[in-house]
Amino acid sequence: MFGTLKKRLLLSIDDYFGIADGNGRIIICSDETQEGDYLKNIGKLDISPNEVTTGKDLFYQSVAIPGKLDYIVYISNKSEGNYKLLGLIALFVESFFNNLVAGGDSDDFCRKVLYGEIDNEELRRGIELYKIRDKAQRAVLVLHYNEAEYSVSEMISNIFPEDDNMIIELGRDKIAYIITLKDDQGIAYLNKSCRSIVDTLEEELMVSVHGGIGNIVENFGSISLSCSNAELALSVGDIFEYENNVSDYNTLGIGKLIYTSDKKVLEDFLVESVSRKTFELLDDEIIKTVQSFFKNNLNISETARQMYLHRNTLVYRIEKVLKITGLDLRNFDDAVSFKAAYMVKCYIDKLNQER
Amino acid sequence: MAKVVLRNVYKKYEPSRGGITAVSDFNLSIEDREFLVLLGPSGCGKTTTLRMVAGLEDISAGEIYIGDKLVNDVQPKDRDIAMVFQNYALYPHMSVFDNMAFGLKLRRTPKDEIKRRVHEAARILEIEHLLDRKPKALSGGQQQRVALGRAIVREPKVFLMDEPLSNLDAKLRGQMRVELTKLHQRLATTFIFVTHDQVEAMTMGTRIVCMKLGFIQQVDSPQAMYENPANMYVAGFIGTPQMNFIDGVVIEDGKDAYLKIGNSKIKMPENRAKKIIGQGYDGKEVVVGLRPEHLHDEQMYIDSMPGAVVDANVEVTELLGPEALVYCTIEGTNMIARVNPRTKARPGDVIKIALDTARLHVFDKDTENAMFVD
Ligand SMILES: Nc1ncnc2c1ncn2[C@@H]1O[C@H](COP(=O)(O)OP(=O)(O)OP(=O)(O)O)[C@@H](O)[C@H]1O
Ligand SMILES: [Mg+2]
Repeated sequence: MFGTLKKRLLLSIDDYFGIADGNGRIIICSDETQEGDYLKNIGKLDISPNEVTTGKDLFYQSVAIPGKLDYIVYISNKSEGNYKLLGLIALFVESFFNNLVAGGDSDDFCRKVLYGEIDNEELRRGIELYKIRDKAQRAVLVLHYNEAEYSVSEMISNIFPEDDNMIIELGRDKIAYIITLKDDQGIAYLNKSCRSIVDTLEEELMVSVHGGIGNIVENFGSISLSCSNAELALSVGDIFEYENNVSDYNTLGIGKLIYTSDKKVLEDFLVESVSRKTFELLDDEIIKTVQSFFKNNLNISETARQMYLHRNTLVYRIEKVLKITGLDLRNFDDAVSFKAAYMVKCYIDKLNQER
Repeated sequence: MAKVVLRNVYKKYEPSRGGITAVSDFNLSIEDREFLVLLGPSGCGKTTTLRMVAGLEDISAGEIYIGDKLVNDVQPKDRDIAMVFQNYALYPHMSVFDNMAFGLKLRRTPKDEIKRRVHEAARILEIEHLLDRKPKALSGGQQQRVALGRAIVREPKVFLMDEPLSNLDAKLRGQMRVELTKLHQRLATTFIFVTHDQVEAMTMGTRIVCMKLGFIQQVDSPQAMYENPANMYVAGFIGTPQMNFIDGVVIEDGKDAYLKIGNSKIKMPENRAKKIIGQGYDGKEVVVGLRPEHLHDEQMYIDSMPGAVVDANVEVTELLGPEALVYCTIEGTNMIARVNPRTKARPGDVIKIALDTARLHVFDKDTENAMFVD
């Protein structure tokens, strides 16, 4: 987010300028080497939002945005004209964070790319205009949350201050985080990052957050694919594969297949394999046992150990499933059939619920 | 500081999310300043319970109170709680001070108040000297403390923690257990802590709630739960090595009660015999539970407990420094004995073992519940 802001400001200001947070820690500066340092002597100045304060070498003004952190903008005071320019910069920064400028058109552009609402020519021009690296390994995380009082994008950009990543708000309760991966980073890194974001957002903002992880793509135009796969993970990930509010498209397995299938086909499949009625005969205890058995790769001893069950009790439950459904879960093919049927059932329930 | 009360709480996930009842009829009253641990294996409903207290997950039925306030319809941020989870991230480019202050700044807490709270939290966590450092310059334990600091500065009435130590290596985990206990004493606030690790539960909790498949099995102090488990599940879950279980039959003979284990007949002490006799247990099949320390191989015990001595075939012995573990079979069942490291037992030996009849447990074979408590 700061990256976009910085690019835009650098395009139009030639003099020495910068933006710091409320403590004076420099976030953006025309002299990049100063980013991360602290502004000197600002403690003694009375910097307010409505007027420019003159310091020894700089003009200062603060920017206060409800629900977000305060910022200080500053510019060299060598030229008188900068006095007025700073007022404009403050206004721009304020609008930027209020999304009035919508992250500049560059956020708009990214949003269009994410939704796939853009043709090749527009894409090419946008990449050039906003100086985006086209060829790079990227993946999209989509985060859903209950309406948050505070800025989620601001929080994420503080967890991962890297310039290369982009944060695009997709609505009041949804955000896309486009991660550019370094050489040694892959799916495991995405997963870890997503978990960190979800847990940290929940801790700090106290809202329930769900994260979906998309696949890795090679060029900028393909982030729409990664984004829709992240959304897919979010909507089917809960079924059977739920894990601490994070679902990963890359490990979704047959969930992908189900999601893209026709509802009629799925309903027929359900009738032919394990019917809805049959599932109703399986109580929670059995379903939880089966979940754990699948999670432990059909390993009886490991499942028994993890569930704190006697081996015989576990075998008894698996045999009960066999009696009711005709499927022996110790058998790979039968296990696949059961899992697919169960996921289809949940998915159809979800479709019906949405209707 | 506050009491937390859960009354008949249920959580059933929507059909489209699997439709599982993750928590059933959960009743619990958590006292002010308790360190309450929710313990149980994966999938038993610990996280779901904690998230319902936090308000991050709706409850399907029941009531939750924090302080004296019914919070069913209260937003998480208005519940006077703070949370610490497993996958926390610090803000890498901010100082320790700013990391802790961030949440307060978002909430527009006045500057002086932020300063006061951060310094107070840093003092409690003993990281005052690190306030200017960046996270990168901190050790793992220090980073963990900063993460705790972010919760502390909110000055909540209740801390909710979901396996906050499970990403740490074994050594650091051990350290943090001690730290958290100290922290709890200093803050004098209610802690609710989720873990599947019985060692964490035993060492930190003032009370433990042991759960299975969404149901509470037992609520007790660590000591009481160890000494008087309500059923075989709790008995097996708490303590390492695990409690030994062996089948037996109750035999009454006048005023005396015996446990017949294979071909051995063990005489129960008088006070325990009284709890058995006349209850219709004669001839009943039971499971006898023996903690490893209830199996003695020293001559002194064997001489003093003539009615409770059995033969054991030694398979392996493991010397652990202050103690030794003897892996053996008794009446055909695998057992582990925790004995003095000077034990003479060697693999292949047949040795005498005295069973501690005053402390062994007897479980109903059908219900798996403890047949009596001391
Ligand atoms: N978001 C969810 N959607 C659907 N089902 C869920 C969800 N979260 C949990 N469950 C189900 O509820 C049950 C309890 O899960 P929960 O996460 O509370 O257990 P846990 O005790 O915290 O386990 P772990 O030690 O693995 O974290 C499980 O059977 C699980 O399948
Ligand atoms: Mg959990």
